[in-house]
Amino acid sequence: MEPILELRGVRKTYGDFVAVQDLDLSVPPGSIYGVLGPNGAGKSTTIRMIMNIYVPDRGEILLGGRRLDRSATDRVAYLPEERGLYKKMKVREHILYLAQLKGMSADDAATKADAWLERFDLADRADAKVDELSKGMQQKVQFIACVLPEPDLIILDEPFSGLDPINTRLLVEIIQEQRQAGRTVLFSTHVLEQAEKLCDHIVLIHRGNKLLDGPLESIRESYPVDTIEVAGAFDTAGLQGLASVAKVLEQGTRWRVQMHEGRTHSELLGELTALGEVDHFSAVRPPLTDIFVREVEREGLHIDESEMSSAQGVSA
Amino acid sequence: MNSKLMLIIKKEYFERVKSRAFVIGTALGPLLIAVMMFGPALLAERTEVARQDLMILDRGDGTANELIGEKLAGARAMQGETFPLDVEFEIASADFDEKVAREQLDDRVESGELDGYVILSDRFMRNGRATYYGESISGAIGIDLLENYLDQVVQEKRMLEIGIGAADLAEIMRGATLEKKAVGGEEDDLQQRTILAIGMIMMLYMMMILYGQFTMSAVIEDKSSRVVEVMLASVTPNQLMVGKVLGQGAVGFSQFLIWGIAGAVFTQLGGNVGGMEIDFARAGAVAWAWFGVFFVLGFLMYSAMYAGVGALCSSMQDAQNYQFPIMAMIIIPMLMLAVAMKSPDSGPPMVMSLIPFFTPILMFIRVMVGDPALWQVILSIVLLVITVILLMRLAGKLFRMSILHFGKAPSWGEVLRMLRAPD
Repeated sequence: MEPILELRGVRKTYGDFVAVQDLDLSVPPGSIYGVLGPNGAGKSTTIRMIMNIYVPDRGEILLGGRRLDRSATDRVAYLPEERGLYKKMKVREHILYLAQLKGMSADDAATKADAWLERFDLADRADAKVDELSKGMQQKVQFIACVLPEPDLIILDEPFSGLDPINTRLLVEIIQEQRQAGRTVLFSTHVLEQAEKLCDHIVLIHRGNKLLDGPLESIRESYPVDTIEVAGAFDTAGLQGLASVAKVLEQGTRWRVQMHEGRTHSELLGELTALGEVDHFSAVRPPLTDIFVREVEREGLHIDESEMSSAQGVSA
Repeated sequence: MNSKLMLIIKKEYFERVKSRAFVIGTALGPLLIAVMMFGPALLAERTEVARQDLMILDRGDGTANELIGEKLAGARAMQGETFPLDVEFEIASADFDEKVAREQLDDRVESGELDGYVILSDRFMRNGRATYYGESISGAIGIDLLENYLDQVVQEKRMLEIGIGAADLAEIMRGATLEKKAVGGEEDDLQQRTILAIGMIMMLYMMMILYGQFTMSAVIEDKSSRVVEVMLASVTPNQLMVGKVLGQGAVGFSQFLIWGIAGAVFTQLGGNVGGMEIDFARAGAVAWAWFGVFFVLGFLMYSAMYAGVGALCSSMQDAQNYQFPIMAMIIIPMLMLAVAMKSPDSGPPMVMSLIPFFTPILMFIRVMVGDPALWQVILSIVLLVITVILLMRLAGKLFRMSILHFGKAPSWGEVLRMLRAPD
């Protein structure tokens, strides 16, 4: 199927700093597409170029097979990372304003706005001014304004940052619902665990370079099942001493260890049994965070402390 | 005009028009105009006229007193309440001692009871001799007035003596009538036009600064509330900028219209400015057409600059630094205004009226009170239009390049680099 959005060799620099390096992307229609990477990876710059807010230094961006022109596109919804509302406008009035700016007729927008306000428990606040609403409610208004025009493509930049758990769930629900309605959702996040749960496709960016790109499942499957979750009568130092163990990834009541290449599960299990009683032994697919770290290492790049902590995000 | 631009203009317009500040400001305008037009007249009615209390002491037989009294009564009847003299009369007694009398009267003057007194000599009706003693002897309007009546009394007495009858006397005293007519049939237009022009320029000046700043704060508000990127997902930076400029401009125009109508209504009700009756219609359609041209172009020029500054700044405080050059460009022609009014077509006002930044104010005053060559007027407008277009483009560029730039406002050097950068 023809991609709904395609980037070909897109590059953007600020002075000497390369924000995005010759990026190729292909977003299949009807997918949930994650643009992932630590803070400063170039995600927002990429998205702003897609939205025609920044102009790339070179390369081209095709939307539905057509090059972007000067005019802003009505078929794409966008929720920027730094998002605000006109504080003095009334909720319903504001939603209608943004919907009409996306080319909807006033009547059409009004009918749909009422339905959405009802659904999000905002019907009784429709005539309240935006600055009388709580932050959580303002976020709901932003979601409504985003999906109301029923765009083909919805682009969300770090949509989960700053959301409380209830609104996080609401947003996840909206994203899945939009996909079911046949729309495409592209979102960026530095919280890889979040992406893991939602995305069909991902692209992993690090300092403007693309590390990985493709359907999440096939990316996962391309990795050897060399991450093992174990529990038993042993300690971390003991595990680190084993011949098959490359490194201990996580510790707690259970450990997660990564095996050396070429070692088999049976070999590790044998070594573990020799160490102490084994209560639990299961092979797991490497989580995205691990994949990210491995890819960065394979490219011979390194990760700063801050990048690492941001890539791991909140431990889920 | 495309519909998105229209939507932005409408939103900017109604948001401002519905705001409390606008309602109060718009209502306050006509109030001020009313105070200016009706206030002085009301004040004059209420205030007591500075009146002089005088006394006339007649050392003769009282004939002089009687005749002067008649003159004063006649004048008071003509002029009414505002007649500035209050005079008491006394006839000297047989045992009159000037020294004693003067001591008494001096006391009354010093105590403030009297402003002064006049002693008529006993042969006043013949030789016209009289002496005034007063607190102040210079600049006392009252005594000058009184002197007129003293003159008349002795002059009439002499005329009657040489046999001129009372009826002839009245005929002799009838004055001339001087009718005033302007050459070329045009009545005192220059003064009217000057006052109107000053009023219009004040309006122009206020609108350029006020609504330019409103445009700027509207842009800054978009940035500081971070709604700007949401907007840019639907409209181009140029649409956003032009929408804001025109929306605020429409607000300014509405306010101006309301004030103008109020002013016209008050004029019809008899209001005036500084004692001059103002006839708005007399200014003529041509004057209003010029005003329209310079109002629109001047507003667009300064709004474009203010919008550009707004795009550079994340807060109103940042904006202070950038505003200065714009303010200077508006104030310079105001400083030239006095010269331009005195000799509108002389060198400096002529040259400056051709500089686009000063054209809206200086060329306007020139067409109102002077007689500039047609080519100068046309040239100034052409230059102004070009400048407006150029500034709109530059502001649009600043908008595109810095609308998403938050935090520290860029230095002048960085601004120049932005303006020079390829599109």
